[in-house]
Parts: sequence; C-alpha cells; structure tokens
Amino acid sequence: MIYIRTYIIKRLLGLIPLVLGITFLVFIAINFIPGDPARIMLGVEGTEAMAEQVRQEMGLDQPLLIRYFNWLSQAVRGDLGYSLLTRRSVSYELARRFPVTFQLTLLGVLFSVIIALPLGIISAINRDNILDFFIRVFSLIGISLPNFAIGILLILFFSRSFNWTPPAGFVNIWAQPTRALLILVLPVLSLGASLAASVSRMTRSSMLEVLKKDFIRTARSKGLKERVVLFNHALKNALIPVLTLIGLQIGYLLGGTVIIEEVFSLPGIGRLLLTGIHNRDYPVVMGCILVIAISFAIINTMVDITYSFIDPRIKYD
Amino acid sequence: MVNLLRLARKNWIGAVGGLIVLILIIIAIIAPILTPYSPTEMNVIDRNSPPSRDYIFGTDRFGRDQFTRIVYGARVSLQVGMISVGIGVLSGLLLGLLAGYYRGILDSIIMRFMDLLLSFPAILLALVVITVLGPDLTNTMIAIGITYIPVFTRIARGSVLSVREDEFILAGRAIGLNDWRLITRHIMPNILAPIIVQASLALAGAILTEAALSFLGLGIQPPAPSWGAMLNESRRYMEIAPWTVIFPSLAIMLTVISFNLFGDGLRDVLDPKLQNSG
Repeated sequence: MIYIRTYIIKRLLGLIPLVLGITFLVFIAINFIPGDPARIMLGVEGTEAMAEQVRQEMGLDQPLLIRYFNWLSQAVRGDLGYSLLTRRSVSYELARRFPVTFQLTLLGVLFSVIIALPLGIISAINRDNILDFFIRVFSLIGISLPNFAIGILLILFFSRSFNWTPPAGFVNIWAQPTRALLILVLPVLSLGASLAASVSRMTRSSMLEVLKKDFIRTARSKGLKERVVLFNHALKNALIPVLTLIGLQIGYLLGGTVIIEEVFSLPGIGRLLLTGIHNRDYPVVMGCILVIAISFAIINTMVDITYSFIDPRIKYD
Repeated sequence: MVNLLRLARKNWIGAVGGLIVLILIIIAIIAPILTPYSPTEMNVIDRNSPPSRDYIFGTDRFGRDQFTRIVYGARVSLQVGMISVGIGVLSGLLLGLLAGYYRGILDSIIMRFMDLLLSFPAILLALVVITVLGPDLTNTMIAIGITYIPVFTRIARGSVLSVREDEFILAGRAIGLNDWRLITRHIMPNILAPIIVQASLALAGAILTEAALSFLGLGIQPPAPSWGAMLNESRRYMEIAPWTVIFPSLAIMLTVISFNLFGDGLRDVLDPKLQNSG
C-alpha cells in the first residue's frame, strides 16, 4: 500500500510539468491568433486610446513570458480571469459547466463498459459463429461512424419513430435524476458508441489470447466450472489491455464531448471552449484547456493506478 | 510495397477494404464524369427534394445535388486524410529516426515534447491549431497532421531502438558508412512496416477528424463540399429532409470502415506482432 501511495504522489507531481507544458504551448499558440483582445473587448465603438488603456490594464502590453507567468500565478489561486465578451469570471463559468461535461463523460464510459465487456466476452466465447459475426459488424460500425453522426441519426430516429426528442437544457443528475437521464440518454449513447465498439473488439481479442494460455487449460483440466474459468481466470487477465484502451480512449471521449455538447446543445466545457474559439475569447479558451488538460492527466494516472487492483503482479517504482 | 493480391490471399476482408478504398479514390478522381451537376450549383425550385431519378441522393435546402456533393466530398476527405497523415508520417519518421539513432539529450527533448502533445486530446489539439492558423483546407490538413506527429515519432523511435542494435548496422559502421547513409539506407527500410500499417489506420482517424472539424465549422468552409460540413448544414432540416444527414453519414462510415479493414488486413500481413484487435 505504501508503494501505491508513493507512486500516486510521484504521478501527481509528474502532472505539474505536463500541465505547465501544455498550458504554455497553448498560451503561445493563442498569442498568434490574429485580432487584438482589447479591440474584441471594446467592440466596434472603442477608440484607440481606450484600447491602449485596456491593454495596459490587462497586461497585454507586457512580454509574452511575463504574461504567461501572470496568468499562471493567478490560475494557481483559482483566478482564471474574465471572459472578454461576457465579462463573467472564467472560473465561475467553468465551475458551472464542469458537472455537465463530467457527467456526460462518466456516463459515456459507464455505458461503454457495461455494453462492451459482455459483448466482447460473448463474441470471444462464440468465436466465428453468427453471434460473433454480428457483434463484430456492430463494433466496426461503431468505430467508423463519427459520434456527431450517431447523435444526429439517433435524434432523427427517435423523433421519427417515437415522436420524441430529448428535453432541452441541463439539470443536475442528483437533483432530478429522471429528467437528467432523459436529457443525457442520447448524448451518452452517441459519445459512448465508439468507445463501446473499440472496448468490445479489444475484450474479444484479449479474451481469445488469454483462453489459449496454459493456465486456462490447467484450470479446465482440474475440473473448474467453465464460468469460473472464464470470469475468475480468463477475464481478469484479459482486462489489462482493455483497461489501457479505456484509459487512452477517455481522452478521445473528453475531446468528443466538445462535439456532442454542440449537437445536443448541452452547456458544458466543450461548448464553452468552442464559443471561446469562435469569439477569440482567450481567457475562456485558456481556462477550458487547463481544465481539460488536468482532467486528462488525472484520468490517465487513475487508470495506471487501477492496474494494480486488477493485476497485483504490476509493481510500482 | 505489398500488393492487393498478396493481401487478398492472406486476408480477404482486408482486401475488400483495400478494394473499396481504391474505388473511392477512382470516384474522387472521376467525380466530374460521374455527375452532371456542380457541387455548389443551387437549384432553389428543387430544394429538399427526396431521392429520385434526377437526384439519386436527393437535394439539400439550397437545391444542391447531394450525390454530387458526396462524390466531390470524397475528394476533400481523401485529400485531407492522405496529406495530413503524410505530414504526420514524414515528420514523425524524421523525429523518430533522430531520437532513436542519436539517443541522449536530443532523444529526451524530442520525446518529452511528443509526450506533451500526446497528453492532450487530439481533436482539441487540432482545434487549437486551426484557431491559430484560421479555418481552411490547407490548415485543416496541417492541424490534423500535427496531431499524428507524436504517434509516428513513437513508433519510428521504438523500431529504430531495436534495429540499431542489429549486427548489420555494426557492420555498416565498421565499413565506414556515415550516419546519414546508415539511417536512410539501412535503418529506415527496416522500420517501415509498422509505420505503413499505422498510416493506413490513421487515414481513417484523419477522415473522422476532418469531418468533426468541418462539422464544428472549423474545417473546410462552405460552400465547398465536405461530409462533416454537410451534416452540420443539414441537421436543422433533418426532419423534413432526412436524406441530407443519412447519405453523408453513410459516406463517412463506408470510407472509414474500408480504411479500417484495409489497415487491419495490412497489419496481419506486414506485422502480425501488432495484431491486437478482432
């Protein structure tokens, strides 16, 4: 347990240069965006003198490195500045929108895993028969259709067949669970479909690989029930590559939320980022990037830590 | 270069994927012969027409022929896919060869930078690059290409690390070959298999990313035909003209499936060690 604790601390400390690096890169990149933030803030009616004043107030007249460190020193204190357009606090906006993206991503992962693991196992057990064929075809479709196309087709299907469209807006899942689930059901299906497809493919091939191993033959020859062999012996060992894939794919899922939030008009961080990008609202873009980079890094760390619970042979150093 | 026949003998599903890819490339090249319409030609009287003999995939809200736009959209998708993956492969190969061959500080700098790029969702990286460069066809290809550089750098470096210890490299050094000749003539040909396999799979991903960027209004700009942009333009009218979202979706799906099948097939033939999914 001590090893795990040291490892977690090490990994968490390792996140710092990663997050610093990505925010620095994005900060430099945003600096090259054509357009003057002071002018954007003032709109068409601002004079050059007013723009100059805003530039001084916002520190935009200072060198790039100084501005980055200013931004960083404020960011570590939780102050991410103000939106150039709405003048609202970026931290406030992010805090308001984070639950949407978080719930969407979490439910997307849960849905994929709940659907994909059994499908992958069934596919592996029934290798090369008709059931396996259908599962593989569905998986192939799942990874080949972009999530926004799945979203649009789902909306079309439900509105045409059942005359039903998901309710607009967003409510907290803990406050109004039924309404929240109704709002999120199609976005979660669209977001999770491709992860479900790749997880089921990986589970199938990983199970097939493990089922060939000697220890499975030993388990069968000592008379264990097939169910025990499959779940206690094979699945546990087959899960490592599956977990790696899930960890890698959660990043894509985070990226996917940008598009899904746009399709379903969900007020999450992805949509905030898009609005920020369209309006050249750089404090908003930086804030969103920071939250996404930290979330991505934390998720990857958590996935690495989870390995030890599944496979105690994995040592941490 | 592996030919389609060799692939067909070993993996017929991969060969089918390759064949569809080939057909798509031909369709993209001969697009003007396949359709009498122009992809941007509006015919307001026939707007939102369902599929018929005149318009086999129907028309959109401007009366533009959907079939024509999908066929021309194939040009955009394939062009973006190939050039952006090309950018990723060439840059990744160069950086991977340098990092893996010279090791030391150069390796550390290159790989830490690649780790940094990988520590962020690819689509968002592409979004940031597009924001800086401005949305158009060339910048879309550059943005997607950049997201693939770390992937190919890692693969190339990994392969170089194992090849550089082989005896033929030692022999090359012993007869006085310089680094450049060793890298280009002896190491590079031996590390290409996994890169070709990954490139064929990356094509599918690049086509999906282009569709996503164009869907968000940050890729190919209207009225140029792009499958992603077509979906974005049509989704508000899908209740009255569902064909305007169904056909572009099918086009993306067919293209991505065929590249995936082709890539999987190539992997089985060229690099069986990498086989990791069913």
